[in-house]
Amino acid sequence: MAMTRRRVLALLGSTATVLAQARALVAEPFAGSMSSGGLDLGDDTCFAAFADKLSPDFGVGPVADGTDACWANIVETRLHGGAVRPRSHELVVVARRPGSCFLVIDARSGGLLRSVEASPGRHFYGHAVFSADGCWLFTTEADYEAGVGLIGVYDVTRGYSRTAEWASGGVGPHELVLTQDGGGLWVANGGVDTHPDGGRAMLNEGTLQSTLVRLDLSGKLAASYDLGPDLDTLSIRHIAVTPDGALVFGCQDQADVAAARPLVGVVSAAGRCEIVEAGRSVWPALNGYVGSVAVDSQGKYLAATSPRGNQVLFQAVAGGEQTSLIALQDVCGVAALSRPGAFLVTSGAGEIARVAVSAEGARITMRARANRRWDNHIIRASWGRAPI
Amino acid sequence: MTGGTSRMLRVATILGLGLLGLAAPAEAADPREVALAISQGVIVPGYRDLTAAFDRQRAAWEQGCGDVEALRAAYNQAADAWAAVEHVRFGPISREQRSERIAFWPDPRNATERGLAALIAAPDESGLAAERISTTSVAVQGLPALERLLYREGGGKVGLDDRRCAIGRAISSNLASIGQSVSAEWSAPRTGQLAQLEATATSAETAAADKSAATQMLTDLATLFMVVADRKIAPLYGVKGKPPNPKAAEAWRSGRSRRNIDLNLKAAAATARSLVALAPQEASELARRVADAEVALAQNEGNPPGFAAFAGVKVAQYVAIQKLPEALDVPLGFNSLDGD
Repeated sequence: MAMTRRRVLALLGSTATVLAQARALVAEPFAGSMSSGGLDLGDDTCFAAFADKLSPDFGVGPVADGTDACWANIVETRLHGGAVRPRSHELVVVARRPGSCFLVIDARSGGLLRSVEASPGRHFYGHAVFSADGCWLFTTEADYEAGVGLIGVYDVTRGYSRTAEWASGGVGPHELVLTQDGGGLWVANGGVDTHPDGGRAMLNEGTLQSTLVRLDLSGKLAASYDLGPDLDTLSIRHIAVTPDGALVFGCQDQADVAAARPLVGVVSAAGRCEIVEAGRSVWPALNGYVGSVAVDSQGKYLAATSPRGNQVLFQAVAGGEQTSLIALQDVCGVAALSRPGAFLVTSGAGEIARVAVSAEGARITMRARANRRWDNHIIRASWGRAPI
Repeated sequence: MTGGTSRMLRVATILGLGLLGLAAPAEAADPREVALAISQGVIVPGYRDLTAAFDRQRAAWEQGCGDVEALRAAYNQAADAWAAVEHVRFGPISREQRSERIAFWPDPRNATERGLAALIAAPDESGLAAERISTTSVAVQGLPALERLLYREGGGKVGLDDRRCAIGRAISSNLASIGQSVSAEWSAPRTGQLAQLEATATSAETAAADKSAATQMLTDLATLFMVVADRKIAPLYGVKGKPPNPKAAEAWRSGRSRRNIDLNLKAAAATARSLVALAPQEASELARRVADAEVALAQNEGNPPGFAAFAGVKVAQYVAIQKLPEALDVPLGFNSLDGD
């Protein structure tokens, strides 16, 4: 780990080296190998930000049980979400809200290719997504003096240069994903207003006004949804698309969690926004807080994690089947794996678990533990099995 | 990490302290007992004091604005009472943005100043009734707005014209009504927050609610230390290589920055003490660590100044996150504590 740290610091200190590496890597074919330690992820490779258990260091690395010498970039900033560039091994990880940078990392070696600073007067909210062709990166950002949500548009082919910014259609944009057809963006405007000088404190002068917004790839607003006055204390933070074009969203209640408001909903492909029907005991068990959502590879099941309830909710996207809860201390990261009904979840206690969901319910099929506190999100590579 | 280990440790602790005559719980603390101990020991009495102080403040403003010193005294008593409970996010205070209404801070965009200027410049009396104030920007509804009316930068003499006096009256009245609502929602028979925590009927739902309450209260305690160290001590004294920036500290106009930190730490110590019967060793250790931080703050020693207090609070934070919750069987996770 010390070696890694020195390497990162050396790279950070030498822009020329970073640029040279970046150029070399863009053209390089995918090669190499990585062991996922004691946990077989099947046909998938996943990454996640983490905090070192033994020191206040933060980092990002492959999700593995830690017994192997997998790469791990140790940095001073706590990282959050990100994305792997399609048909590439460039992994983008964004500093958590209110973040001042994102990192571009070689997913095979952990080498730092580039660190991109926020533009003046802007901060990041922790999430990013690539366009389907991998040529553009979109990030959620704030114009923090104005308190306005933005989407930052970066030209990947020109060294991640920031070429445009669009209105996010709300305040406090958090996660963003590509629409199923790749022709637009879904943005969860959490509604929480922040400023770097206020740290993570909520600066809203009124109610939240969280929205779900669809933009086309010219930045034009195509649709906007809110949850109505009964649920206006909910901050919509995390989203995932299904293969048939629906959108699953997870919320965090900024008011009294004892109210046990519903926290997960679906916008159907036809544009109907509805809260998921779940058993009476489900919402209290999630304790007002969903930290991540995912949809399985077939679009049949959704997963929503609650680190504050120490539970993962699994449920059919279309409803109808029974809801399952799996208890896992401080669980937050979740990603769908390639196999139908298969999910990967991670926890702040270092736990990594595979879960299989079917009509009979959800069960853990494999688990391992790393000596790391896995942070909020899992970033899945689209290139399948890990032969990094 | 396991509950079994922590239980064994606790049993060992209890055996050790048995000689001192402390009550020994037979098994792991019930989350409900944790929530009740903090509620009865800190939150409910704290809100009682807060409501009384807000009521007195309203009465002071209703006397008119001739005696600025009397208004300042009432403001300081209200701010003292708030500092004793401001860390609490659990329960009625989290409804209707009450916490932010009482004290909108940090305020990096100076929303309080802007909102107040707009109210002062407004052409008519609309917006000055207490119920109207409650619908304006939350930044002008609370103690920071009153502070700006009562204190001038540089300590100059304050004259409260009729307009400012009416605004102060409306804000103080709105605060009193928020305080009364919070107290009532805690103490209402049967339906109040305290009655719900006291009810012993157990179902899966009440068990989940009890655990949620205990988790939130311990999270609130851990967050208190983060806020005090990072937002309150850091700007006041300058830490992590940054120079002091006293005007980024809390309530600098009224000279309360240090006092608020003191009172926040006293609230933390009181919370720790309320849990000594349930986790003798860890709660006592936390109380000791807070006392150490208070001493460091009082002596303001170290190099650079303030660092000892900052470090002391961070040590207390460590105990509040890593030791105490686990001893109480309500562990706080990395993600659950400060997620996104």
